[in-house]
Amino acid sequence: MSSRSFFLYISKDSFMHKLNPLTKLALVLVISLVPYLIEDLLGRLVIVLIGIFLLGVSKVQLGVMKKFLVGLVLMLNTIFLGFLLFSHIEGTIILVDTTVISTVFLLWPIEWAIFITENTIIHSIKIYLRVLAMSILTIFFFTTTKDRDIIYSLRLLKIPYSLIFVLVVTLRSMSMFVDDFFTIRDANICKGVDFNRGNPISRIKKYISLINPLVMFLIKRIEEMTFAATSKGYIIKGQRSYYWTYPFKKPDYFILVLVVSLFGIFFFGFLFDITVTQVLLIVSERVSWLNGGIPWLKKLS
Amino acid sequence: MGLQPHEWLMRLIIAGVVSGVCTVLAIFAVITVPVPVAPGVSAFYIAAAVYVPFALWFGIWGGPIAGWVSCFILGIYSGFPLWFSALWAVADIIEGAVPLIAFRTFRADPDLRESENKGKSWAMYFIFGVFLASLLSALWGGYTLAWFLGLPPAAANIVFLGWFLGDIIVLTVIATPMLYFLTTPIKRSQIYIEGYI
Repeated sequence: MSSRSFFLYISKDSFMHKLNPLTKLALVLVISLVPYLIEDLLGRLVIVLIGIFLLGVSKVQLGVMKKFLVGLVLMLNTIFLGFLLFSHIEGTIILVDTTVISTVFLLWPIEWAIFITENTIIHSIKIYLRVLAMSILTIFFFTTTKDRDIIYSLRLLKIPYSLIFVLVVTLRSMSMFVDDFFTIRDANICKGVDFNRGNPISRIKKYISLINPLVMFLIKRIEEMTFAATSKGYIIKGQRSYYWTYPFKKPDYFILVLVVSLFGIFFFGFLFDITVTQVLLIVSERVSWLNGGIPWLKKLS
Repeated sequence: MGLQPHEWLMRLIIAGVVSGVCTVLAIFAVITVPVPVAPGVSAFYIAAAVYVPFALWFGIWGGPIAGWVSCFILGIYSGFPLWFSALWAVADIIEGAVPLIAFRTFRADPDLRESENKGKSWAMYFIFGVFLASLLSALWGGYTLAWFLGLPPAAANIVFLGWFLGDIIVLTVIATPMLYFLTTPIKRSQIYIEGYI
């Protein structure tokens, strides 16, 4: 049975779960930053594959967070469409070159030029892959790290405890808010409200009617948290003692060295304008059984 | 400042809780009603309906801070660079700060139902809390996309209009009843903050 902390932690006996939380945080932060250093498509795809590999090694079954994943996919698609439609990048193959005139807003025409070339599509895919990589790494981090571990890892980085506290409360309240929403919605369903019936306007009105009780729940939670923390003598400033310790072990050092090396390699490539595609092309040309390289790699470079 | 430790704790909890809620609502809004020309922008940004009233109830902790955090996280997950997300999220600081500063400066009561000067409260709310807050945040949010990310001007205009009109609708339809019905009980609670901090 899986245990839940913030909203994604899944208890498993995996190599990744046993790593020091600071190691996992370093891994996620570095790999999340690397897409900003990589401009080529293949490089960002490599980062996505690394993220998927990490999820696989941590034995996380994504089926338990189906609804979250559906929302994530929808958001990624919106991002892709947004960059596809608003980026204006020149290219050799012009796929769409049109001007849309909209009179929706305030009855005066607004012109919007849509210009899509092959480079626009590639640019949009690159952004998509960057966001996908960050999302996968975030899922990896939160499914393999308990909230207590996150607090300790940030503390080891000497981040002020007040900031860590706000972050922890933020993450905790996200899952509580979602739970409260479903509780209130289900209570309304028991009273006979049908959220699936009616035109879009009436459905929106039904959902809007949930806002006031949700806000009162929020206020109550803030009061309860404050009373609970105060009654336990919780302090933000001052010296703290910690019950749990997180020693670094050999696998942690190995992963940290790997992570730093990975960042170093990509930073070197960024400084000297060497892309992952170029590296793979050179390697493929030197591998005898590939007979002079991979044709599509040459096209990508 | 003279605040007790438990009062600081309460303020941090407010900032954390409201930030978490606004983040969930922001992501939900962008998925369900996006403005198609720009990622991360929604024509029905429900989070604004939370952090504007919360700014009036809880000062900077419930409004500007929560607005910035939620918009920053949204920006990152919309594909924007980190530095741009931090800059772009200032739009939501503006949207929370404008009504907060107006109400505190002119000593208006946010209680739209039981205020001694209801006319002043309602006027202040619609001028600063709905219209000006939406206008200034939409200007920042829409045109930083053009200035820093190269969004074409026509697209930036669409983003601005979608953001501005969407926030006006959200603040009028959702935030107004919240302020009307909930300000009285919240003012009686121990967590209401009369000032900015």
